[in-house]
Amino acid sequence: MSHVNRVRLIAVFLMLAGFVGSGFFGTAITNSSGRNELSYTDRAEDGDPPMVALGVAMGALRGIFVNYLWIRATNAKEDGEYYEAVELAEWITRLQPRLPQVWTFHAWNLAYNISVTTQTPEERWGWVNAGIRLLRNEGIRANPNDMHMHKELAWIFLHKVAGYTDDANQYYKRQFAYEWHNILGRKPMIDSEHRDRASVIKQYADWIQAIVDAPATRRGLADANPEAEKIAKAYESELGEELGVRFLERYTLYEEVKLSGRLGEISLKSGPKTKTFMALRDQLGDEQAWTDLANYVRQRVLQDEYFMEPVRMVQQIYKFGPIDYRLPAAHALYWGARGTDVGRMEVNEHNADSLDFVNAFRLVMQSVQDLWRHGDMYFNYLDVHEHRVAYYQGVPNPYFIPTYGSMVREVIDNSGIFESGRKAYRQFASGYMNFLSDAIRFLYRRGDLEQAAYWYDIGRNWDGININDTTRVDVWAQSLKDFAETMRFDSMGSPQVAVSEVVGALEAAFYTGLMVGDIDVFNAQWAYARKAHAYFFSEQFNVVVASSGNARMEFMDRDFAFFAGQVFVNVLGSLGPAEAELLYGNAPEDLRKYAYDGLVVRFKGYIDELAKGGDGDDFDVIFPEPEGMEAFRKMYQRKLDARAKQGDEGAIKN
Amino acid sequence: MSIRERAAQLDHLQKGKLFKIVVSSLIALAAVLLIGYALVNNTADTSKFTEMINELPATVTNYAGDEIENPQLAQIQQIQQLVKNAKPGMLLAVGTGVVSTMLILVVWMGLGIVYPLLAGVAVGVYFVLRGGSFELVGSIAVGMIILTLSFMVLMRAAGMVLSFSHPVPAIAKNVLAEAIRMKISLVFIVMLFFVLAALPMLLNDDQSLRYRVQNFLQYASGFTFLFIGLLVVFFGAATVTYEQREKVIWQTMTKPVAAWEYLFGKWVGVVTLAAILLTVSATGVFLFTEYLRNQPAVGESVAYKPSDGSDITEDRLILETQVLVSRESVRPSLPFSMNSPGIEQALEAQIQQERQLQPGYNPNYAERQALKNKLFQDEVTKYLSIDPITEKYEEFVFVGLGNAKAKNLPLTLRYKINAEGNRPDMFYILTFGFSDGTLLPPRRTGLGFSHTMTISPEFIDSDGRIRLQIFNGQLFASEDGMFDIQTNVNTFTIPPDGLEISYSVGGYRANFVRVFFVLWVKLAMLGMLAVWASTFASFPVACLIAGGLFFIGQSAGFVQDALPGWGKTNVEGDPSVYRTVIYYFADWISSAFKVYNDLRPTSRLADGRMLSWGSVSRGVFTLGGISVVFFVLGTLIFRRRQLAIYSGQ
Repeated sequence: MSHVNRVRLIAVFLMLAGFVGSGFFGTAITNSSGRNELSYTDRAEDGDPPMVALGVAMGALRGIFVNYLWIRATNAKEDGEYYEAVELAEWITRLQPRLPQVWTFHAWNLAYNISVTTQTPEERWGWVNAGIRLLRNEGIRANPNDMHMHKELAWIFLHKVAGYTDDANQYYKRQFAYEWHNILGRKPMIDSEHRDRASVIKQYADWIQAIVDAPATRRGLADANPEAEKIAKAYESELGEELGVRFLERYTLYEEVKLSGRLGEISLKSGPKTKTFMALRDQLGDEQAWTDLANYVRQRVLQDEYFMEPVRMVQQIYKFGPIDYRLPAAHALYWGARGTDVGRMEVNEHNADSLDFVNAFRLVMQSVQDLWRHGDMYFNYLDVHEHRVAYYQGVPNPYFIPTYGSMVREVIDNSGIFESGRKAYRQFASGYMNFLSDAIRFLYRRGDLEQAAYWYDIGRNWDGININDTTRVDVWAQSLKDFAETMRFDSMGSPQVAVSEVVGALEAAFYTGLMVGDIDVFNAQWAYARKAHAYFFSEQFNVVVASSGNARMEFMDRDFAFFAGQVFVNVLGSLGPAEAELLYGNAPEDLRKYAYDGLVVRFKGYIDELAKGGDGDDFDVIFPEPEGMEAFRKMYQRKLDARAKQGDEGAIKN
Repeated sequence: MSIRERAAQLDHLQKGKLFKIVVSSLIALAAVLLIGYALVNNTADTSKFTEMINELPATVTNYAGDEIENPQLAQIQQIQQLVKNAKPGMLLAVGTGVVSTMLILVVWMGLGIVYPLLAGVAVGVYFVLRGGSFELVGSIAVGMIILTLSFMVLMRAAGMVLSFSHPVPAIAKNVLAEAIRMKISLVFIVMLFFVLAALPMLLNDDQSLRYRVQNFLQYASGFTFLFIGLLVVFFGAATVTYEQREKVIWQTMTKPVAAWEYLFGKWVGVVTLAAILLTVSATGVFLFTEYLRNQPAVGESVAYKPSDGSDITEDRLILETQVLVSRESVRPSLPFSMNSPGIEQALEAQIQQERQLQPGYNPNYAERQALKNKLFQDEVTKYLSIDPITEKYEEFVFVGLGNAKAKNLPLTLRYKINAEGNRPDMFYILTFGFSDGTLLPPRRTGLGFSHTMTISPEFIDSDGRIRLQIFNGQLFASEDGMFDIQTNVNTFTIPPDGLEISYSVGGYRANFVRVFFVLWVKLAMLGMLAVWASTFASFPVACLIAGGLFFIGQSAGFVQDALPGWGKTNVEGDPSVYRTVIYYFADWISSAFKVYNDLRPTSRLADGRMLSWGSVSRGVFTLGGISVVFFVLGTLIFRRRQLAIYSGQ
């Protein structure tokens, strides 16, 4: 055999050995990567996200490049250099899109670690948002059924944004409310005659249902409402913008400015595009067409930019209660509940014990708890829009009491030996009793004696009560009134208790005092609210570095009169004309001054129209302007400006 | 008159001497006026600060009743100085200088009408594309056209400069001509210009201004170096190997051209090309950075004007004190050294203790040194750890800050703490105090990563020292007027590199020039490697050698960082032979590129760290020396090459 042929033979033999070996090892490697969820698609296909195509193109070098990026990201973080953090996080997650821990690590890094290195609330919010977007807009899209990622996203919403551990949390809440107010519009005004839980849930569900029912395409919109399509075209051509978040921002700003009665003033200060939009609004005045267009855009924005499902949002309202999606806890609930729903499909014998399942369910519960404690939210949209320190208040939402209570009871019932009745003390049982105490105290304080008595009955007759503390029996044996007093003193230092006490007392002062003309009740509740407010600020106020005038634990405004005035405005805003007239008529002059301008905006046109037709008196008769309104308006503006100026470090202790 | 005739007429006109003189004079005059205007208006409006300085009292009374210099006055003066240093007129001045120089060159090349027409075409392209909703494409196209025109002008100018009758410049000039003929070089040039034109469009407007500037500096200079480096490798190899393969070299070597002249000429051509590309890129990067600097930062309505009426925003402050500067840093000095009596005593005590267990214990010098080193390290760790119960705080002294005090610009304090395994969900509250009694507001601090804050140079005493106290907890004034501390849960430790104060020693502009000079030096060495490899290898092998060395040099830092993770043991923790071999081999190879790697010019530019002339000199000396060595080797190899036998095979 010649030398050349020998070489050829050896080469062929080696080639065959290589084929056999790769076949053997390749199968083993593929099995292992699939088992350990390391598999990656082998070929790019149409419709795949770009990250997949990139990973395919890099082939075997992907691992080395990913290592390089990880080391670069870690070193940069340790050295305090964050300018590349977002890009590196995006690159790494693009190259390892199927590993949930990669996404959650980087989202956490952006939202928690890097955000605290800056002292400016705007920048901090930028970092927190970057973490949220990474998970919501990209990570969950790449791994739509991964419960771990849903849980982490829910946690960021609940702990970082809705929570109170971050110094800038008040800024986050306002910005979040502003963003979602732009997207969804105002929450429903609850009809005073339909305040029962089922009706309120229906009203909130209808709020989102309108978005669900909107046409899914431009053609559908044009068919359903040609005028809406005309408006859309006019918007796109005159403003040069596509329909999207900017449209909703302009639309909402117009609505809010109109409601505030400041249309003329704001339009003078606005830029050319805002003026063009306002002119368009006036020109094309078909309100239904604008509403239909707005709902269509909302649907597109929710699905295409926030990757949320309006149908699921409605389902969750029916399941959990009247969720205000302008609250971060609402989004924690949305993503946490979505994770438990889709994660069910992913349970197998390898991960059934995973803590992710427990933690995801816990987050759903904690979100509902937050909605009970702070789920009724009021904030001043225009203050946020104009970059002032805006009024923002989250108060207890009693519509979530049954939901949260039933969730805790479900956990207790399904916890097996951990909540066995044979134990003298059980954690969840204790939590349930504490929850009932809070609920009863709040309901009693706001004058809802029927509901307070109902839950008090449930609590004192529950057979799952802990028996380790014998004094508990005595406490629950008291009258409802004495019970509420006992609970108040026990937990006044807690922020949410303080808020619920102050707000509850104020609401009781207005509903059960002023509205029915009982001045003694009004004075008593008012005095109590003032004392509770002062007590809270003397115990819990804390000066912080970031977010300036909004102290970390500042759950309500420091100025009691200002705060009480705002609560009065909110209560009036939820009433019909007749009830508002009663409340306004009996209120002291000081309170009336806070409410007057809002009443003008809300009722003047309607009442004067009725009066022209001979139905009732003029607005000025029903709601007379309080004396000294000009001076009050100046004082009010000074207070707003003072809050805006609370931007320097070292805000003094109250 | 036909178009061809008119074109010929215009061509004749633009080549005429009178036209060149008149147009050059006009350009020079306009440039002088514009530059003069820019230099006169080179300072941002600081009248607001001047008014505040005039109104504030020079002294105030502190809580102890003493008269002290008004700290607010000092702060305003520092901010005023920062704003003055920005020199917004620099963009116009440099831009005018660059454009006018280019135009004058173009005029004297006899292209005084053609090039402006081409530039006009570029602008027209932009507006056409913008009108068709292709603004992004239009912007990139215009950017690429401008960069290309600048490149062509400089290439022609370089060709003119290299028009000496000597083998070296003649060969170099030929290399430049090849560069725009060979596809292999054109690809990288086009890619470079595309990336540079596209990068500004990729910046995220929602990000802080300082991060956009850093991103741009990092990626623009990084990609510039990468693409030019690859160009130098491939083109440097091609220019020698192709001539050998196609027998073109026979024509050169039959003339009285020495081997060293040939190789040196090739190298000069390659580095001239690299210098031209670097100049074009650096100018573009510099001008866009100056443009970015004059954009509003977070919290500003207009550059340097905070919208909330405050003196300066955090984003602007950090940009001007940490990014667009040239910083040096100092770490705290230890109150003891390896030879301190305490260490010696501890060493003796340990030896005595050991002797109680082993009576004959008598460590030799090396063992004593190892023990002493360990004791010293333990003392350092103890000094850098702050216990919340027994210590509560520690004082750290930074020396050598006299220069910083003279400059009177804000300092940057960077700190990092480790505790509780650096749990990502834990935060410690730290309070910082200074020897004059000033306490800064407590800081919420994450574990295991760096935080920065700006501090006043007023804290530097007359000896150029800062005494910084770090409290392990939140310090607050209690009701009786005394200070109390709410401590954190556990002890935290500051790692050895976890505390430093940095200060500006100059503007970033000089640093920028040094950085790009170092990049050119690196490329020059790379070019020499490519030429050297081409003396004995074919094109693909030469590319592999030079490219491989380039890759190793660039990844040396990454390898050094990754090696601890690689380790010498397997997953179960047992020693692994092949891991150990790879570990030491990789360590040895990456250490060989230490000087190359430690220069880190692009990182320094993005981080605002000074690249001193000392570092530059060391780099030039080392890399230059390496280049000389490879040049000599290449010459020796080339002289022995039997070109007539090799060529064509």
